[in-house]
Amino acid sequence: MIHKLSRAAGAALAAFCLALLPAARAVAQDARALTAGLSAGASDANASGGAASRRLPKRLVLLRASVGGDGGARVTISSDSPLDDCESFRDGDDYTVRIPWAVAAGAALPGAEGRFYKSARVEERGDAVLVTFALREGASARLDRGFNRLEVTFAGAATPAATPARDNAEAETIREMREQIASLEARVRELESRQPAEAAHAPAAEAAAVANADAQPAANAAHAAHGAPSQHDHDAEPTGAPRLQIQGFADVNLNASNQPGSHTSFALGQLDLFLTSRLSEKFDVLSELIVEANRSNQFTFEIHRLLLQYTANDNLRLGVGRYHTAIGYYNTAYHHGSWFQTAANRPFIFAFEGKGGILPLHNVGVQATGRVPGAPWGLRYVAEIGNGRASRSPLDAPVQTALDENNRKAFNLGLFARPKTVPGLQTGFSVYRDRLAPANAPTVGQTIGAGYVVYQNARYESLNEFVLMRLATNGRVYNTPAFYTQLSRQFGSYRPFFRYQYINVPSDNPLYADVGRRNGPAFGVRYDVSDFAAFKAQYEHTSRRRLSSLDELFLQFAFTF
Amino acid sequence: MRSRTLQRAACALSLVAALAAACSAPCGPAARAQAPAEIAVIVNKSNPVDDLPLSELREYFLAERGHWPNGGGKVRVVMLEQGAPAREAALRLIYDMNEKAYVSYFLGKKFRGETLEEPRQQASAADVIKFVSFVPGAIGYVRPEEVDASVKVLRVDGLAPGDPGYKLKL
Repeated sequence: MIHKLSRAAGAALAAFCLALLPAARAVAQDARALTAGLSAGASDANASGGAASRRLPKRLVLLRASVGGDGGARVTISSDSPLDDCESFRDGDDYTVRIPWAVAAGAALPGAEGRFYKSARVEERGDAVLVTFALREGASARLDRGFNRLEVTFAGAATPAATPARDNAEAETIREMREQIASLEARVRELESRQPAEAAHAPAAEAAAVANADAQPAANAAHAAHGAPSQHDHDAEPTGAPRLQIQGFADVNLNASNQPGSHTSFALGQLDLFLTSRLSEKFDVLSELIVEANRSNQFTFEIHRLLLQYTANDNLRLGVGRYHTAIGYYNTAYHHGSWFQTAANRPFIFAFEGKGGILPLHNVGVQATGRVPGAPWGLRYVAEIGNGRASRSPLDAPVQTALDENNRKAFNLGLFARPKTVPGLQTGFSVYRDRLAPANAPTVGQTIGAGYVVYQNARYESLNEFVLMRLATNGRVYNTPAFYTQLSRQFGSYRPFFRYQYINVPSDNPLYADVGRRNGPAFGVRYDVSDFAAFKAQYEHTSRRRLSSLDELFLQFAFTF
Repeated sequence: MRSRTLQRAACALSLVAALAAACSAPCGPAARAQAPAEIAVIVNKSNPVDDLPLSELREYFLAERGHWPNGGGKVRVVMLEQGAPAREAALRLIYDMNEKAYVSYFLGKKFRGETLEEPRQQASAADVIKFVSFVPGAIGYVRPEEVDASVKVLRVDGLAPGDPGYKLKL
């Protein structure tokens, strides 16, 4: 009987529960709707745990979690109610925190990814809120409970936080930053190295001056001090004002000759100050300033070169100013730097205008030079237009630096080749054309053709040039042929050399008849006493038309500094 | 009398020249012994050039060419400082010069106004590599084993360091 009563009571209780279920669901819906409007200061009674609390409005889980620790090693979740009944579990790489009887009121976790997890998601499942972290390989998580907050602490092997795409982007950024750092380091090093080099200039030069010229350390010091190729000179990107570079060339001579009226003399040669300065990536300036004593023992000063150059590329370099005319090879290869020359003096055909030379070796105007695009053999061109040389007149300076004697300009066109397959070989020719206007005389058409074959390397030197000057006036033509050949070979510090030269100016030449015919050999030896100083001894014999032969001895110290 | 004196001077000069001819230049065997077996020519990775004939490579190092082809910008040659074995090797293999001739050559180049861009110098292979990796038009050289991924190694006449027949080899 009692058993039957118990069964009946159980059935009634079950029926009651079933009857209550829809009502409970309705209450839950109402509670969820209500929680949406609850404030953070909801009644503590609602927060009580246990089955009774399930009837209370759900907790509002504030998923404004903070991310702290080392790069996301800890995530904090807070709520408006106590979170003492939460649980956590791990399923594979997923670590989930379950907050029962709760609704999510916030957006996704701000730290949607971190060093220890690839992603984090928040979802409502049934009456609970699940916060799931997809852990990275080797990572683990631990849940710490507070009053109304949870802390998920991660540990284990940290891996890059980024997604592959972000990985690539960040790697690129890091690479760029490293390059920038490297470039800045290089720049700083370059600037720093310039300081001690400049500071060391004086001691190095002093060391070079007092030390034995043969001493290698002194040579190195001089080398470092004055222009051996180094990064200190002419930086790719000049900073601030242009920096002037000076290279000096000079020579001291002892000359003896059998020419009547001459005396064996010590002679100061030319002091050649070669100046260069880079103005920008494409513009630069170079100049040669010459100070020398004339035959009256008075010093003269002259600007022999002053050229503003614009280099567009390998095919075009433009220059304006005073330059050495590109007639033949010798004039533009050695200019006034006697240290560069093997011999103590220049071949007569390339003697400077002020020393009896007949060629227009200096000019004022515009020049263009460069490689011929696409041409073989390293073919280059040179084109010049300038004032030309004044007619030989005692009153005229030969170089028309400031004023031309007529409106006709001198042209010079040349082609030369430097075949890359034969380093050291250069060959070329040029044609110069001008019209001269001597005072009280008919104008003279001047044409100068020049050709050369030159071979130079560290050991051998072979210079061979031929020049033909043609003057035409009053229907007559006067040809002046000239040539020289020079051979030398390096033996250690010694370079013996031989030269033979010839020039034949017709006796009736309207301008240069006084030169006449001159021909003869010269030989000698150059001895490099240091890397930047040389001693030269040269004997020269010159036969002259209708004049006695000349025998001359030249001893010379030539140096650069 | 004066002519006789000059003739004697000429004879003395002949003797000096003959003595000079008997001398031979020491070629620095010690330096040669220290030089690396090969050198690798390196350029900036942005440089489109991968291969150069040796003759053309010489032109770049000799400042005969100052610009890379096809608007590739200015050539910046970087050398190791004096005393570096790889520099000795480069002078012999690329320049065909000794130290003195090298200095004289670039002084002459500058003097003739053909270039103001002398090769820069760096103290170490690491500095050379850093310079080349930073400067787009740079070209330099280091030992092959010193090359890293920040620069590009040029093939010379179609051959890379280590290839049989590679020409920049002592």
